[in-house]
Amino acid sequence: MIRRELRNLYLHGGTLLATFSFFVFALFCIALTLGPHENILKQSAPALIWILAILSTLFSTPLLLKAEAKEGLLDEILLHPSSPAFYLLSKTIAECILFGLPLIVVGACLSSFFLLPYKDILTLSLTLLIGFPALSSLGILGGLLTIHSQGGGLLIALLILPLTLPLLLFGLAVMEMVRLGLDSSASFCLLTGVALLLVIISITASSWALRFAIEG
Amino acid sequence: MKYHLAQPSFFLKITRPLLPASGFLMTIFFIAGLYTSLVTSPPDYLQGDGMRIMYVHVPASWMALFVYGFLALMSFFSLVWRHPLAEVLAISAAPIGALFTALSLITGSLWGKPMWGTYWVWDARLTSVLILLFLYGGYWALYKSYTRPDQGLRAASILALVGVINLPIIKGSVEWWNTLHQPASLTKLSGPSIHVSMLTPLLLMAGAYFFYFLTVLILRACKELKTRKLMILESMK
Repeated sequence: MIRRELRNLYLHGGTLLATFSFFVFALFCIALTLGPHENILKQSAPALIWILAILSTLFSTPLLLKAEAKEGLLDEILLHPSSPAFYLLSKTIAECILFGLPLIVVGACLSSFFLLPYKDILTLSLTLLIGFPALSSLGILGGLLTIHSQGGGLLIALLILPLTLPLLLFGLAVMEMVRLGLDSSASFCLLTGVALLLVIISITASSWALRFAIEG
Repeated sequence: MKYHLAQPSFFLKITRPLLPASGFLMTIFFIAGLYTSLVTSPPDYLQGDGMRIMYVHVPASWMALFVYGFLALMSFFSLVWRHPLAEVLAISAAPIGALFTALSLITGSLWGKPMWGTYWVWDARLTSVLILLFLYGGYWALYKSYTRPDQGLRAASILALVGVINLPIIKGSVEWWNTLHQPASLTKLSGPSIHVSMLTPLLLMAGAYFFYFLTVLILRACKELKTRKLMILESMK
């Protein structure tokens, strides 16, 4: 199932590419407008990269879902005997591999815009890696909730952004600890716990949302 | 479970006498609460008369949480049993809850200016209540963004249920993190750490808010039920 999702995602490469360019250009613009002040850049980089990662996931995942809904794939999923949660989970995993990993790598490369030291980049990538499954599954939830609605992208941001805040806060807490040279394992555990909890909740809610979206 | 008790027609029947009673109680509680809080309760020895904002702020915060809990419970009922009355009650409760949340935030920041020296701090409790307001907003926006209200309602109900994780965060925020906002002084195991002369107006105001919620909820629910009836009649034509 994961392999099928991977292939599916690969076929929608255009959307992914657009999202990547959004991510890169937004980072570029921010780094440019903040100016060459090393301290400001260094301090704001983790927050900015996190926020942009959240935004690009929340915008691209629903687009992919809408394309699948148009092709009638979601109806097939409901007809399938296994639980829709499996489908949603494999979708999340596929998205982590094909979308999350490159995003994190790109983000790490672009961190040099912000003059981040090597160790900070590593921690940032690690927190993003932990948080990404939760982001992706929340994006799926947003996409399924708004699939027949008129609002589209902005509405999803309104619905899902408040739910991503704990991830953002704990991720940045880890960064802060590492920068100050303190023990960050507690924050790491919290981040992982929150991420897993969000994955479970949003996958459960998504499988309800999927059923209601298709059955009407 | 007695299903006939949850019939919309039964609801309309019992609320006819309940509505004036609730409105009457609301008026009594408001008059008593305002009188005791503004006239008879003593000013705080540290904060002076500024502390009287508490009588508006604290019950509003309680109600913001209570209404969200109610909304989530009704959303659960409407998702699981597809109960029309639960749907109507959920839709009717959401804007009232948003109103209480906004009131709590506004009075809180007005209180914060003279006491903490700032209207807003990024403290855990303030932030989580702001997120509660966003959740109410998201619920309403999602519900309104569908052309078919039943679909919108179902999507919004799922969102409301997911948002329940915010409630324990708000409750725990003053104990788990070191924050500027003071911890609970009423629901402690050792009994409330607040004097009776201040507790009485606080509880009276809480009662007034509760009956306000009940009154407006009944009004809005009856209106919603009648609108639905009209729409069904229209479609039969």
